[in-house]
Amino acid sequence: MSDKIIEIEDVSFQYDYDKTVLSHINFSMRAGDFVGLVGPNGGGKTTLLKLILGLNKANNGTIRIFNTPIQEFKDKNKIAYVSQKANAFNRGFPATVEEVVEMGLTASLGIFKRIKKQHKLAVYEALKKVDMTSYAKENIGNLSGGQQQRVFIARALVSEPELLILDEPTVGVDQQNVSNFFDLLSKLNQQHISLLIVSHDLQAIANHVTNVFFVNKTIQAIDSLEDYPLFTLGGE
Amino acid sequence: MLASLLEYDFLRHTFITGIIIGFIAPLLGSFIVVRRLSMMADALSHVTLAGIAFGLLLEKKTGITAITPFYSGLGFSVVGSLFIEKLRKLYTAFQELAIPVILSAGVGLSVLFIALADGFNADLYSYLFGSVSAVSKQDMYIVLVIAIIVCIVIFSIYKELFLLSFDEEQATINGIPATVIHTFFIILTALVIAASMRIVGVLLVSALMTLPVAIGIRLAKGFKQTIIYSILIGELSVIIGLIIGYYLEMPPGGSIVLFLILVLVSIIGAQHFKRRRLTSNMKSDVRG
Ligand SMILES: Nc1ncnc2c1ncn2[C@@H]1O[C@H](COP(=O)(O)OP(=O)(O)OP(=O)(O)O)[C@@H](O)[C@H]1O
Ligand SMILES: [Mg+2]
Repeated sequence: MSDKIIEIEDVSFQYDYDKTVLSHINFSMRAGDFVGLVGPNGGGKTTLLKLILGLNKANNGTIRIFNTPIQEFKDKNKIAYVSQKANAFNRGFPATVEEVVEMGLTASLGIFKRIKKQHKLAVYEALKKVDMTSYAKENIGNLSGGQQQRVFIARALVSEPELLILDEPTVGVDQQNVSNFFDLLSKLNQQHISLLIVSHDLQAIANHVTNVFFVNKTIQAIDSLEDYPLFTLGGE
Repeated sequence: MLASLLEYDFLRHTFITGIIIGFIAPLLGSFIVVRRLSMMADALSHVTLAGIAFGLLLEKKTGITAITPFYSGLGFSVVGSLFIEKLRKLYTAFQELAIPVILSAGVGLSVLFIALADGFNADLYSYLFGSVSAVSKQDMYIVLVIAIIVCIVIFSIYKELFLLSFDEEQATINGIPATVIHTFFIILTALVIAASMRIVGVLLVSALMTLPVAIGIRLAKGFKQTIIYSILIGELSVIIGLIIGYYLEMPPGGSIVLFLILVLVSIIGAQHFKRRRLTSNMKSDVRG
């Protein structure tokens, strides 16, 4: 047994036959790590996260999640994910903020189980962490983009995951709240939640994470962000 | 009418059946609307019509009455729902393409069966628009069984179905078997369409599933509330529609749907008026 919660060995991936998006990736993450992924648009960061989440299937190589081959990994409630496109949902959808956060409990409750009082409490606690309790009964479609993003973060937190995966979670969140949000992440990390985050907010990344990787078809650990001043401008 | 309700069995059966479908059609309809499957329900009801025409043809040509049009309609509906799922998978990028395919297949088959039978009489008419006197005791029990199945399934997988409707990617990550649930759901839809057709008629079934939700969504906050409002409105429309249908001697499908349209228009009007008054108040505040 190792304490590695993610172990990727020699994984390559392509959506179409002619274009390799990720090539011979080796990557691992230990329990308690706070890992940042950076890289240009189209570099393959989201694709890598989706491989880890089982949404994409690797063409070759092996992926182990919590010491289990990904094909056999069943403890879905250990991982929570905030997608880059989280607030691209149908704005007219009739769901309150509370109902959206409750969705985060689906995997940990399991099928046939219903939301009870203690779960409502957990929902409230999660909303408190992102400072959104006063919107609990509002329709999610009526909130601003940044507020919605905070609700989706609450949805990820509510199940108390061991690993939190965030894909550009602070896009559209104002500066004050970005700073608050990263402080929250650091606090969660101190409570032994492992974090894997994609962000273009280099300042915030530099101040908070323990390891940074640069993803652009390949992956490499980087020691100092200063070596990569231009990659956010895009292109290879 | 109350007196006749006690006096005539068929009226009682119609009323009880009406109250059951007034509940399950909007319940399922709430999910149909948020999953953008309203037109799919419409397509399925035309397949049900083909099934009914087939049953009537069988009755007329062979005299076999064991397979009533109700059963053949139910059968066609369920098989059609499986075809829709298949088509939706074949055309993942254009899922709504399944609608015209299934809809035209349903209408085409109906026309074929009607032609083969050299036309039908009033029977078909009652299947098209519903009837206050068409529900047999046996039909009523079948509808009850369908309602129990629908309630059990929805109650058991409510949160999975809700998450799947809102965010398919999260649902997949959470290990929810999306394909299985999709299939279950579309079969449920077929069952509810078949159950509702005796009261509202095949052509207006999807209206009973979606119109109460269209109204509920404007009044409610959140999904649970939308379901509750939709069911209340659904029940009200069925009861009032049946009474009007009985007295005016018109098919209840028409009176139910017209009642729903009237409610929808009034609510949109009232909300519009309220907003206008709000803005004009604000203007006078600024002036004063
Ligand atoms: N569903 C898809 N089908 C086909 N190609 C895709 C798909 N998703 C992404 N790609 C391609 O894979 C490459 C990597 O995309 P990915 O979304 O992983 O980049 P990213 O690093 O997350 O970029 P960004 O910073 O813009 O979010 C891109 O060239 C993109 O065109
Ligand atoms: Mg991305």
